[in-house]
Amino acid sequence: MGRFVEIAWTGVDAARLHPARSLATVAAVLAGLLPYLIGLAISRGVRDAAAESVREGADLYVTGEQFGRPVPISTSATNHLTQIPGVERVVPRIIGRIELGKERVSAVVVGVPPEEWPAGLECVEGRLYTGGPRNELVIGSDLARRLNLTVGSLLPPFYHSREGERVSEVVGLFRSDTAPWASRVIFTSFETAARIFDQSGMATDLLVYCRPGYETEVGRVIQRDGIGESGPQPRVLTRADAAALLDEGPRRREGVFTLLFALAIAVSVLVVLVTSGFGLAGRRRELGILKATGWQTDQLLLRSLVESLVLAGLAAALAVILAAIWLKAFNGYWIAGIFLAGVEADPGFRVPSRLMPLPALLATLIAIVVVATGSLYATWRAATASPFEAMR
Amino acid sequence: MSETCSPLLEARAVGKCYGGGVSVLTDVSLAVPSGSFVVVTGPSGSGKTTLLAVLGALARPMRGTVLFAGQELNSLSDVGLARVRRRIGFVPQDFALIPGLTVWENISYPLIPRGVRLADRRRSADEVLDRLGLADRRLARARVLSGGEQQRVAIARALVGRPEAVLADEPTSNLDEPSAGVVIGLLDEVRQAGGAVVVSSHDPRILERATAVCELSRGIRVEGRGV
Repeated sequence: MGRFVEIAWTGVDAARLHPARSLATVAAVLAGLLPYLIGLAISRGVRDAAAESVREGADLYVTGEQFGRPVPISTSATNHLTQIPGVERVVPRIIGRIELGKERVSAVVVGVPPEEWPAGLECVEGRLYTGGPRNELVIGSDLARRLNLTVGSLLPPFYHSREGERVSEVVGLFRSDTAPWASRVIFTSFETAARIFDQSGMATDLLVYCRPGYETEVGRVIQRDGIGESGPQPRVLTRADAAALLDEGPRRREGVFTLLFALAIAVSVLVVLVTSGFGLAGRRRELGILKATGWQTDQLLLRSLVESLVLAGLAAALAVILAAIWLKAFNGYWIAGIFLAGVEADPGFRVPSRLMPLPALLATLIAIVVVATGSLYATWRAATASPFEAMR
Repeated sequence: MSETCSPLLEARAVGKCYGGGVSVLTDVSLAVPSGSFVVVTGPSGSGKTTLLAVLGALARPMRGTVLFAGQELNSLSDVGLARVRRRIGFVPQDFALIPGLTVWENISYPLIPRGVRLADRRRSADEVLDRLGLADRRLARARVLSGGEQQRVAIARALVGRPEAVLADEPTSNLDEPSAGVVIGLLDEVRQAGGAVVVSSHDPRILERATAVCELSRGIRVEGRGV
């Protein structure tokens, strides 16, 4: 046992003896592992954030469908749905895309009553909108910065409406860096949103809140009875459906990312094979010297394996530490854009992330396989040659 | 040296070629009994280094057989050859030290696979370093040593495991007079303790100690006495 440990310990010496090769190997593995760990952490964070927003949202989301496409739904359906046993309240909502400013900055208008203001959002300046005749807007801080808007800024009419266009006023700013979806959002009252999109009496969807245990039954009744005499065919999305839908995107990106990572690892193996060649003559001679002084091939392989474990462990530990720094200090710079559609290299919001132990463990195992593949073969070749030849 | 005792090291009609079919050794036979001090002489390229490598189980001959303590080396596995190498101390002409390791590490590394404990490795290394006048250099990296110091470290590494045979290729070529005297004295101690010493050298001080001489020319043994 003592001999085994002492031979293994010389593997640590081996990593120290060839600093250039060790650094190149660690760097090659790190280049593959780091983006992978960051990507998985962001993907996990996005999925957690989505799950959280679904938990805080309505029990059922009712939309209209005609010819297999989503269509607006009449607000009169609100009264119809409220009559269904088990329904506590129904809230109409409008969600639509607009473009603002000379640079036609894309934004999403969300029209909901002020009392439906999302719990996780914080209005940091000004106040919430009211439901009156004025067009009052509460804008995310990131969008306000882009459009150079502050509380009190007036926006000339940016839409056409049969009711006539009105000037809109920014009455509040909310922190848009708290959630990925909030960076381009403008909150306003349902009435103002209806004016902006010229869809009086219509909603994009109805949020249905049910008494506990009634969700399935209410959804079934809506599907069976419809949402009014002349309304479109209803489409009901349950909380579980919404969670699955929100989970699908990050998971798909995660799959693509894993595929890219597999390619990166394949490249890393090649790079490690090349870096194993750094000072190969010197290493071959070193192994020849050890062989000439009584070392066996299996002992040299153990030494090389420990060297690989040391380098792989170092690379994996560095990858985890640097991933944590990249996520916390640099907010997932560049990699966040892969997982969050429309997000630039430098996201304007706090990128959600969660570094899980399982990917870190997997990364360590992959690092060991990559480094060991690169070095054990070279060691075996040198160790099975005649010591006299290897030493020359 | 007795004619009747069985040799510790023996080469029987050994032949060795390198790439391109260049013959380095041709039918060389040599018997080295315990307690003998054999000097191999010959001009550059005569095959002295290759003969020592073949005798030391560091290279396989292409023809003929080599025996150590009655065991035919050709028939041994990797583990068997490693065990034989642990019983033989080898001093290469270019010293073959690991440059990034310290003097003491270079000397003690061969003892690790033998299972010698750290304290014993330290004691054995210190003893031999003291004898060779290198005690104050034990923590120096091999790469910073002079040629003479490197040669003495290579000799210390060969002797530290108390080998039954020592094979040394030009062991005094880089040494000053006093250091060469110490090295020759140590090699002679191995012989006196019942071991076998085979040295490739033209140093007259070594030839003085020889119990047998083997002269090679172009890979062929041309002359010899006592072997």
